[in-house]
Amino acid sequence: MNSRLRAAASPVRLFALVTGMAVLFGCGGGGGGNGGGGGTTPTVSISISPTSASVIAGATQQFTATVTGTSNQTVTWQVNGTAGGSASAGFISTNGLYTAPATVPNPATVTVSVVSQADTSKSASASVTITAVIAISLSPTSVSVATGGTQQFTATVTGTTNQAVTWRVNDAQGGTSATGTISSSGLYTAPATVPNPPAVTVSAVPQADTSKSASATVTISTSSNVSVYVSPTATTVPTGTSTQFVATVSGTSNTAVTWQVSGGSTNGTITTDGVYTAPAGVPGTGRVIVFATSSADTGVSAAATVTVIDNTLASNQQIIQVNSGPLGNAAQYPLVNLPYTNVTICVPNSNPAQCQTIYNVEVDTGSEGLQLLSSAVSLNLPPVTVSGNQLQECVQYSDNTYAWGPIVSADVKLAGETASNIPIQVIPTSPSPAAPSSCSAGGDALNTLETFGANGILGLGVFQQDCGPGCASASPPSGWYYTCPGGTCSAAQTPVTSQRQNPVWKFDSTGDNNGLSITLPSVAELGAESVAGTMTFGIGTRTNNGLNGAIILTGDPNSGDIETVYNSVTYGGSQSSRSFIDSGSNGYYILDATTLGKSMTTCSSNTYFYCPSSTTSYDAINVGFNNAQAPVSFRIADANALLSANNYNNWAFDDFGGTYPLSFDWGLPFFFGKTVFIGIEGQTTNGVAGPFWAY
Amino acid sequence: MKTALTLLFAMLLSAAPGWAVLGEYENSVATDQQVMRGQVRAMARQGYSLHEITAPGRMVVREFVAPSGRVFGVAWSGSTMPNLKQLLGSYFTDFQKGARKQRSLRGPRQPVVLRSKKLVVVSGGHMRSFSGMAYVPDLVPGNVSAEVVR
Repeated sequence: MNSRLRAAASPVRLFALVTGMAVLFGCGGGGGGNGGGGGTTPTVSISISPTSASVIAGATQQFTATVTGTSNQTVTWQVNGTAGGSASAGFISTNGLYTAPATVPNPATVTVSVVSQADTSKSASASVTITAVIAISLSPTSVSVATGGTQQFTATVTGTTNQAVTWRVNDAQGGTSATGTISSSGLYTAPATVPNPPAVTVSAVPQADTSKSASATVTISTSSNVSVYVSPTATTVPTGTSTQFVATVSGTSNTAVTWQVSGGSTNGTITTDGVYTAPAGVPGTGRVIVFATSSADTGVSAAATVTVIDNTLASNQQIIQVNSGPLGNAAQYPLVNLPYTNVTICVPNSNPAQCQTIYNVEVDTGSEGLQLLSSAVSLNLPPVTVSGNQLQECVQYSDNTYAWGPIVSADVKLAGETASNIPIQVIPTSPSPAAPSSCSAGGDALNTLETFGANGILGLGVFQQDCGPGCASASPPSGWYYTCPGGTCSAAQTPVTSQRQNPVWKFDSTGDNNGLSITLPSVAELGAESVAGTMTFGIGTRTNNGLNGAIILTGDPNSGDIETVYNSVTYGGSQSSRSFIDSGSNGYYILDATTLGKSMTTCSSNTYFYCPSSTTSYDAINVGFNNAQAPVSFRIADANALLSANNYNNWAFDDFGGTYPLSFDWGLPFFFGKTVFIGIEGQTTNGVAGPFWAY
Repeated sequence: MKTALTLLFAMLLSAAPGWAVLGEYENSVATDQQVMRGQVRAMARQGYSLHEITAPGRMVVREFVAPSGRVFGVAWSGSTMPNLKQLLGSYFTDFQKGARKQRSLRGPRQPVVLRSKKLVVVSGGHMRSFSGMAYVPDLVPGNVSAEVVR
């Protein structure tokens, strides 16, 4: 999957091992010479254990040697007769630890030998068979096909040269006339009429390992001017929890759909609003299909794939998703690489509790506090006032956009934690009063799902409030908090307690107030359709949230920013050069092609992104305000290849980057394959006060 | 030598007019600095002069003025965005157009990097820490590198 990376890493590993062997030969050779100088020579014998082994490609196997008949226990290890081994047959260390090659050699069996240095004519051997880790991927993973139409699928089998696969439709080899058929080359032909349910699963099983498979969801619709698109196209839901799907209908003014779960209620339930709730136990293979059918044309549906996983989340943990989000390919922007979660809000002190869960809210480590689109909020939340006037907020972004709307009070619930009665912003589509010119400043308002790209933003950065003491001063800055007495808006001196609060530092009585961590898995070179990770609240407050050796980089006390050293040049911390860690940035926005080096180029059609001829790895060092240093390795791939992979249906990329000539904007790709800790200002972790970042 | 030139004259002016708009003359917008409620400091540099305004919200705006008196570049940093409509003047429309085009490719709320023969703009950051710069290549004095606009 990341063969280019492996190719780059191998020479380093080879060098290290060869160096080690040279030292060994110096010692071992001398020992052998001394042993040979003795008079009467007892019979030396040597044995190896185990005498045979099966090792998965890239894995290790420990061998031990027993030498008898001499006090000289010195031995040397060989693979296929070569001391220390080789890249193709695998390496063996001076203490007998064999590391199999990354790919299965031909022949697949190698010989590990151990030679006594007391008598180099004495040796013992073991037979090692290297077996492949076979994996399979399928493209596309989600597709819609018209009745009678065809779709070509491509299966890629890794870990073996045997690319042969068996194709199935809904577990029937070759498919059926009712569900559609698939040829031995992966050409799927949809049935003549829409099946019930209208979505089927195409899967490919590698003949080299029939325990593995990859699946795609195919929706069959009649030919129609009406089309339906469901997003997220794929997602992960822990048992007993919920997520929301959004259907976008085009070609008709009737945008209503009906939602269904394939296989019925044992696979979960879905509401008329598209909120899917997973069952209490993982159903079957854990793969569930939900679909939306157009009310205007019941022959037209769209489907999404749910992976139901066992809910192992603790009370301070909740899931975070990187997938196509609420809009996917129906969006006016490429909404790739954005992390989403859900937030429950309640009317403060309501009894019975009036609460609502908002799904598809973006997680942003570059800001603090909750913003929600009014279109997503049905609760009537009490206003926050300053000097008797409704407090309004202007949130400006660097791309000439802004969000404007009132501050209200809500209980904010994340995982099993509650921040009671904290100020949040609600963003109306048609605000009254309108944004003042010092807020809009010729920019574009982000106030609908289509323009905002999410139902809201959950700011979980390193500060307690979004603005802080600056907005509480007698001379508050423009472009932040306002009051509008008589309809005329001006910047308002706003106490920190009335400002939007980072909910984490306001959690009630759980002790998890000092920060959080975000854990996301690694992603394959060409990306993934959907990736799920975990947000864990508190740092070092429970057994599940320890720093585990992560390096703490404190942030600038005003901005939270850090510095980055690249090619011996320090970026960040100066007038117009800021280095920062921001999950709301969807790429590595870093320098320019020339400064990055290694023949980096921008895309010819779209110079905002990088398009190297092959995926390229880089190293930099992040430096905290405390001068602590944490190295970071990253890779950048061809952005066009990433965006078009899997039929334009991959959404999570750890190697997606673009230009930002002044500095380093460590966007979401930085978060994949690691746990990033976010320590909040004024709170301490292991005696270190935030703001800090750690990884 | 360079330091001596840099500090040839450095003066601190309070509430003096001085903030100008990209592409216009430094004395063209006397009211702007009042709008920002800022302090201005003017410094001579080799081949140009630098006017630095500090305003509430840790806002720092630096204007780069050619010997002709025209502002060839501006740079900023602060806890909020500066008013780019005001700061970029007649070049704002190009920025607006470019930012929209880029948003259609990068998505919303991503850093902006515009680079044309007419105008170069970089705008990035996050809440509490925005920064950026803009310059007009044709107005940069011949003996000055555009790299100074930071």
